[in-house]
Amino acid sequence: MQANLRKLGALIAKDAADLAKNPTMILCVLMPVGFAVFYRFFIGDMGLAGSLRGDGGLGASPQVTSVVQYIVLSMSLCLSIGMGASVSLIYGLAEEKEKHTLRTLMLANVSAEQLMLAKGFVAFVLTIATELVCFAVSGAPWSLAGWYLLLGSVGAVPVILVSLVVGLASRDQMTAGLYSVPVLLLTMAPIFGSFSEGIRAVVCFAPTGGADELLRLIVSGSLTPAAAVAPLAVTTVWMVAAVVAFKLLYRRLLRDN
Amino acid sequence: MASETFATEYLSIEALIRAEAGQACRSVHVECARETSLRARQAVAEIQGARRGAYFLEDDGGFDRDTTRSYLRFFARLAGRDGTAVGDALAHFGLEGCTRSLVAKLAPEQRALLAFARMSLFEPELCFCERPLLDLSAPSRALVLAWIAERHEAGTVFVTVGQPLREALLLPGRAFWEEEGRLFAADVEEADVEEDDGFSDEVRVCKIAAKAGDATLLLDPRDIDFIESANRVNYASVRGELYPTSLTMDELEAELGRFGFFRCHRSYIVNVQKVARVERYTRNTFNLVLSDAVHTSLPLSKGRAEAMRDRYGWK
Repeated sequence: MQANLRKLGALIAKDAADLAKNPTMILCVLMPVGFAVFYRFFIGDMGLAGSLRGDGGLGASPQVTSVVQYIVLSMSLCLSIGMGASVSLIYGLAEEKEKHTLRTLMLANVSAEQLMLAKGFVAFVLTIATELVCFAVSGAPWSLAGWYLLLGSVGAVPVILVSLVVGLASRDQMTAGLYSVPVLLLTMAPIFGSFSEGIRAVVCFAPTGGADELLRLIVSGSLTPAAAVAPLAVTTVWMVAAVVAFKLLYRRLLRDN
Repeated sequence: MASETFATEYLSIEALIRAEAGQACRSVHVECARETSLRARQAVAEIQGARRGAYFLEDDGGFDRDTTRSYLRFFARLAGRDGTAVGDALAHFGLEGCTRSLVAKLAPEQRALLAFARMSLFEPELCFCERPLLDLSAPSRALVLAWIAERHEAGTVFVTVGQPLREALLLPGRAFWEEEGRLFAADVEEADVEEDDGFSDEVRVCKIAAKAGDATLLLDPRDIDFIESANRVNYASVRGELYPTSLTMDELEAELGRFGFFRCHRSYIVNVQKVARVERYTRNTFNLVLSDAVHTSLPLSKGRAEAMRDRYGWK
């Protein structure tokens, strides 16, 4: 047990240190933060900064306030998960596969479970940290931070599991570039739900669709048990599907390494 | 006391590794093709069981953003070792001068040494290496051979694969070579060498005929660094190039003896004038390091080491 924890600690410290040294990973954090800042000033230029802060500003209606806050927070949440939990993990794993780093670790008496747990944990922390920074710079009221981070955590888990599988399936970074696109698009799809009801009816089934819909309900103050059933079901289905896919595939994909 | 059995032939690399490294716990070094190397690695993984393993693979890479020290610290932590072990590994493998260098910027030789330093942290019981001496200069080769010898004495079983056979013969344990999927033992222990000094005052012209494409070269013995027998063909090594010759090892030994050549191993005849030093790693492992451009190492059989000392009056 102690040896397991020691190895896990070493792997987590190594992966965390790698994040700080890897330009791709830094970009994964900077991009959502940059967008959050851009949205803040863009909305400010439209005279809706008060709505975003939730203090009314130029007499904006509660409906406008909730829409503005939802647009900014939805973008921050989905992009943070897409970049932090998906792209960073897929590229990181593909690089390690390409350079045989994973093989070196597995031949150094590290188990597949320890490797996956360390990578998943670091990606999860990175995602939460990115979400938090995005929230801080977005200008949204802090009263929403708790729900936002909770939903961000729940939405990140299935994406992390799917990204671990996709990363292990990537032969090299070139393949990772191809494989990460659909995962990123699916993760970011709920951002476009605010464009129309029709789009929302489709993207609510995306991996982050459930978390995003719950966020919308909370921001608009219309969260009820009945309204939460569908988005919770979507999130649960993705969670179960991701766990099953991960359990079935990760060992075989690591063995092919 | 039951005597150990030493098979001289195996039908497959898997059978060899199971019998030698698995059941008999003997180190084996195999001259073989790349495909056989891959099968050997799988066979080693299968017999590893609960033994602590360490692997040195030719295409190991990555860890580019780590420094030499942080790389070793990480593996020390995985192995449950402290910072002292990292310092010892850095010192043993001559890496103290590049502790802050990025792994990506290390020369191939330094990367190989770093891989051995990493393996040393695990104090392995079973060690698999692909061409362990490939990128190493003579001083680095000495460091690695010293570590292998030390671990071998401590009971570590080594399985190494690659080419040429010469490298396999430098390592402690049994050496094998592959032909059409079968593995044959390259005998290391031999009967005592017949004492025949081969010196006389008679002046004779001696040229060694060797092939180079369609041409037949007539090599001056003084230009030859050593003769190597590999896969049933004998080669004369001249300035790093190997030229096949149709003469047998016995004929070459008889011809070259009076020019200062010595049969240091069943498969090697060395130009003693080119020997820079004799290295000893374990009680039974001797190597001759030549003064040629690449400081080639040749095996010196235990039985022949004594004969060599006697012939040349070395103490």
